[in-house]
Amino acid sequence: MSQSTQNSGATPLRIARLAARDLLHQKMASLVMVFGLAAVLTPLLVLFGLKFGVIDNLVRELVEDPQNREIRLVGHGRFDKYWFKDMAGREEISFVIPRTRGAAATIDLRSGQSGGTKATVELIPSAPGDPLLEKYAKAPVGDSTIVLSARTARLLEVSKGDKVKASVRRKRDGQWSREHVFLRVTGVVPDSVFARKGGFVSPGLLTAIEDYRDGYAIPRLSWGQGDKPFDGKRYFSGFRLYVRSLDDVPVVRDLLIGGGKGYEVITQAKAIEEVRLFDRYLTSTYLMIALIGVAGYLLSFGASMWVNVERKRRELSVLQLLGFKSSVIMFFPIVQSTLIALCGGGLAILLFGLISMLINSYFAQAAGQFEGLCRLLPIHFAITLVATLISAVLSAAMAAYRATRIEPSKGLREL
Amino acid sequence: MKAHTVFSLRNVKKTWAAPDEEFKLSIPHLEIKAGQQIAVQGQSGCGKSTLLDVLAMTLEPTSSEHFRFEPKKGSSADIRDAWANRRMDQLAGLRGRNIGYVLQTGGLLPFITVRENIELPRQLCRLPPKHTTQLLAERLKITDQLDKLPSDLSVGQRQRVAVARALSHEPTVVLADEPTASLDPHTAAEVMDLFVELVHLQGITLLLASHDWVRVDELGFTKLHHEQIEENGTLRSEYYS
Repeated sequence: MSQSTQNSGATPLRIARLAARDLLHQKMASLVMVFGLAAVLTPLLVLFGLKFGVIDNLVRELVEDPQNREIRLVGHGRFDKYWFKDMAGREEISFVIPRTRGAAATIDLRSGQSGGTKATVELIPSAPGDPLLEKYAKAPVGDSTIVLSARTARLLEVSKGDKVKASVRRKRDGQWSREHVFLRVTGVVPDSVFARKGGFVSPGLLTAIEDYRDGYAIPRLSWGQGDKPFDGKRYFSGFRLYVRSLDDVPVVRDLLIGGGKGYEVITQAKAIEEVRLFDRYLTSTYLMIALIGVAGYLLSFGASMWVNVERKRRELSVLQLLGFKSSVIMFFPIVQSTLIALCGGGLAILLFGLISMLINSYFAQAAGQFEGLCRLLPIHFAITLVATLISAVLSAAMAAYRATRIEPSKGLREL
Repeated sequence: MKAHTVFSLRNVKKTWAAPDEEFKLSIPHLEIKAGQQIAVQGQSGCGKSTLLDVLAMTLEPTSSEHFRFEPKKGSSADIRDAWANRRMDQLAGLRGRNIGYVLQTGGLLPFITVRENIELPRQLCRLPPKHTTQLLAERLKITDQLDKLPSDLSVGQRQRVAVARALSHEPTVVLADEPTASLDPHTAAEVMDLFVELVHLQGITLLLASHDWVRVDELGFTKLHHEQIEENGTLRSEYYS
């Protein structure tokens, strides 16, 4: 192009600066657009925050609650170590541990050396990987540690790090004898995990207690001196078993029911199905509301950006008259929409933060273990801003294209 | 040295419809030499503004046989061809670099200061800052207004700013559409004198639409021939040199 047609100073950057100046100049109009955007977007964010916070969290907690992934045996069985080895090797099973006879698994606990409060508690076998403990305490190992239920800890007035004295009694030939062992409390699990009086110990300790009750000696604990230690083939009467996911429940259930042994088991399958149904209904209801809201939001914002370009017809024509190319002038409304989208979106996110804080603190008690009733992740904010920006740029670009297609003199003279 | 032809038009027509009549602007033959000062006369509504818009390349002619623009000797551009092929960017470039346009009113960007308004065309042409703005402001007596927004100025002051903006990028052609029509007679005369003086100084080709015959005569402008013909309910306004 010849030298006389060059006007390379008409750059997008210069137009962008002019666009920003115009927004600052028309403070009221700009603020109205920013607040208008935030006014529509904020309730949507809160709605989505509540859906994500309450429903998703609630459902996830319910679905992921290890107690729903447990398969419990009804009555007694006979399981040897090979059975446990086989089960532990299965892909569907996340945790399996032998359980001793119920009657044998009850002991007395006392806080301190002697004279403290006494509690008769149920012992539950546990080991590393126990889904009930994983969030709260390190699993007990060996013969010297125990994880207490909150109720037991309250009763004994002990907490993590304290020692408790565990006593086991047995009656032989009409005579009561008693042995004991000191256990260090390595953690306390809340009532929501285990509501009864109970303590989690290693299967080794439980087996020792069972053996002692059965009349054997436990040399490593110096229990029942004078008796023989147990040396037969060991069978366990039960198990604690957790599958990996809810979908594995029926698979493992069928495995246990079948196989000739015909064990009876209890699962939470029905409750799980109800929760899932509830989740589906709520999700689709929410989706409908959200779709209408989002569509309305994007349309109203797009329309307000379109109106903004119409209002700027004369200024755009002046820019054309001064020699800005149409392709560069397009940046004027696009930059304005982008700035308004960013400010409005940012304001909406800020307002969402305040409102969600209010909601969360107001319902703090009710929320209990949940992290927040109303909350969103950074990715949700990113999606919000990107969608807003796309809507802004598209509507402004379409309006600007139309506005700059007309001859400059029309825009200058018709107003 | 003989002056070259800046505008060269043959059989350029622009038709537009008003509610009850059809108007037609017709330019059978028009040649404007570099440095000429031309007065475009006629009643209001007879197509003066349309003629200037066509020459400023902001309005597309309905039909044209020949339309060339040669802002500097040897840099001739085919405007008919540019419109026909929708080369809007080429037209914008030609306009931005070579033409200054003073509208009847306004046309200033309301969101930047007077100084920025005046300097914008200069920046678009990437001309060095120099003292042009200051000199123009001094001549047009708007030095005190430079850092204000256009809305803070009187109508007369705004027209002075419009004149300064049309001249700041040292264009070869200035088009002015009744630049003083909205001013009181005294201010109008003052602004017009300053305008013409500046145009003289820079040796600019000027086309001025005006209905002030007396003033135009006094200033020694060349008048464009003008005829108004009514045929079959169509009002045809002809301009030719």
